[in-house]
Amino acid sequence: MTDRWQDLDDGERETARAVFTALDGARALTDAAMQAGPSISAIWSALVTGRPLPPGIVPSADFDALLVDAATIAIPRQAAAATPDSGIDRQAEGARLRVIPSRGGPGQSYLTITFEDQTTGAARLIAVIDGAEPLEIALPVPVAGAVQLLLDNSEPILAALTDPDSRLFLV
Amino acid sequence: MDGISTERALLSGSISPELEETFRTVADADLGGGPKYAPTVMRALSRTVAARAYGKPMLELCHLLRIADAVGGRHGWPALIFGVQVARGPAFRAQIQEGARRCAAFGPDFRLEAEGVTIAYRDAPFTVSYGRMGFLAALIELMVTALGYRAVDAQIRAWLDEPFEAGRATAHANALSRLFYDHLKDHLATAQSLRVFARLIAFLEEDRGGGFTIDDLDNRAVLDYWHRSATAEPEEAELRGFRVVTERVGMLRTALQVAFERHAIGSAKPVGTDREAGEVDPGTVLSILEVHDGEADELRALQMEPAARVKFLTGREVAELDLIARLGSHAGALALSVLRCATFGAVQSRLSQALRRHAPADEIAGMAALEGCEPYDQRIGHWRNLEVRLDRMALAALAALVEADRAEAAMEVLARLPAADLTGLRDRLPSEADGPNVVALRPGGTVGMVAALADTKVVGPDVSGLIADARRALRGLGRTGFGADERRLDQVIDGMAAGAPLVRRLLVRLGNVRAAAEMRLAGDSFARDSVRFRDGFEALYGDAA
Repeated sequence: MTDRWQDLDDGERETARAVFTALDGARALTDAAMQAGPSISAIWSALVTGRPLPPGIVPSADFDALLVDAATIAIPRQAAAATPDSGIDRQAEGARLRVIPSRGGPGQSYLTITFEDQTTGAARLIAVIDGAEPLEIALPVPVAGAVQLLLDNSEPILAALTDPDSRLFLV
Repeated sequence: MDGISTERALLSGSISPELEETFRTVADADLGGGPKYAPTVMRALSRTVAARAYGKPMLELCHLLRIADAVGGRHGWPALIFGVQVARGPAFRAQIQEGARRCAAFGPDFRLEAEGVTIAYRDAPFTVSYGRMGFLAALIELMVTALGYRAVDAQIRAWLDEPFEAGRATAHANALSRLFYDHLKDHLATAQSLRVFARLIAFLEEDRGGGFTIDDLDNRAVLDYWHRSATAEPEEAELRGFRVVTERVGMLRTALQVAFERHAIGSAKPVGTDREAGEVDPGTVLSILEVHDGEADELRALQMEPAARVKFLTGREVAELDLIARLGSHAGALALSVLRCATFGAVQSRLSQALRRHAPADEIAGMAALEGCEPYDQRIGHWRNLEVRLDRMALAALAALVEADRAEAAMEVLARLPAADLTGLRDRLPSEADGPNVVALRPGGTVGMVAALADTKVVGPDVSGLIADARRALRGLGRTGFGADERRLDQVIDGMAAGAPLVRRLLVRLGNVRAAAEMRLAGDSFARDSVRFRDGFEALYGDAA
């Protein structure tokens, strides 16, 4: 048996190259240490179990697609902007979401969600705007197909609801 | 060279930062029950990806997705794949059993078997084992993280919308493979690895001549190559960390070993002549990796269930054994390099950290001048102490196994004393069903038998002496899992049974490396090496000092 480099033919040398390259790549993957964002399964798990979404989510079309699959109802972008003062009215197949200024409590608004199918429900509302982490708010159990919350106008999610680019998900 | 670029030069950029982040994201996935994917699963995944050997796993994955679709409802495959908290066989089994209760297709189309789920395709039934599901889930999570949910989901839906036939899976598995392959082409930096390979070969040809053999990949080659890289212009060298060079020389030894083996058996079929064109037999590369890269799994196996229930090693001890475990069968040949890594390499690591935190110039200059560098004799003494600790851990685990009357204790005794005569234990067996010439060493079912290992009259003085040593080792041991109350728990004893042989094998590896290093040391070795390292550090870090 010879074991000198010069005795190896091209194919055998290529074998050595391929093995070295694969070992090098495998080692680099195993040693991967770069700071990571939340995993897909952590996001999915949070969506279906009701736990808060993990920090560090960067909104993207893929994140929206995942939310669409996990959500009961998805409300897409709307055509025009609204303000809490003028009232917000956003609709999608299966639900309508409105924000109406409270007459009794200045600086406060009612968030009302009405489900077409009274057996439908959602545990929370998630608002997604590009460039910011998603916002979420827990929802009470629907009564006669509707939920209503009184929110302070300073609630960040209200600002998100007024943004025509925001996507809303009832999960 | 500034601090950051020096640090980058120390690292090997075999993968893109994006792929590094993607892989780390999956490895760190935690749904509240600890890491979702076991380190051994991630290691197997790294080998599969690096060898580009995901063709067969993709086919298995397609079939797992059929099962997941049935469990989660139409196109609800993520519920099983992403929803399992800890991706192990029992967790998948439980979730599939739960889903089966809600899905009418279970029964006619999907059969729950003891080891997995059989999909009753009319053309060819296919079984996906529960044990394999963790790896397949990690593969798809890696793909979704790398390629995006929409791209992967679209391919998956196309498969799930097909008629229910196994034969149709191949085309979709190939489509998934292509998708992944196209992505990895830009992120697995094969060119850089090939450059390192070419430079190492060119160095050896120049230094030892074209007739160099595997034995020329030795400690001197590691030091000379590192010194040359450290003192070369940045564009002429990829590897500047001494440990990185040591590891790559270990890999080159493996690669050449495989090539020489193929040459010797006269069936030199290249595993690939044009990798980019796909003329590769990835399965061959993967099988080589599984053998040669798998040796480091010992250390990782200690850090995962069931062995992880017992604190056999501290974090520092794991770090000290890491390089030895990684080098596997080459650690003995490169023992002096391991010693240099633990001493001069440690200084280089501290230098890199100091540069990263913009430490004062005099601090960097002091380190580059080897201030505080541990001498070889001190490190050898440290290794001896570590051997004593490892031996104590393995012995204490043996004592715990004897105490719990576990048959694995007898296996450990035989591993330590191969000539031991344990036939005396036969009389303690509750049944002679295994025949008069057999000592049953299967786990469990040996009430009272294993305890007899401590009885000189039954097993002789060597074995009973070993058990006495083991009991002494166990006494007063404060690490998690070794307490009297903890040792009553079955899970802890399972951890002892899994960990004892691993610790014993690591002890042997360390002892071999220490002995090999001692053999190669002369009285002035440290002083002579100090000159080379001081020179190399001056070239690398002199500007920052």
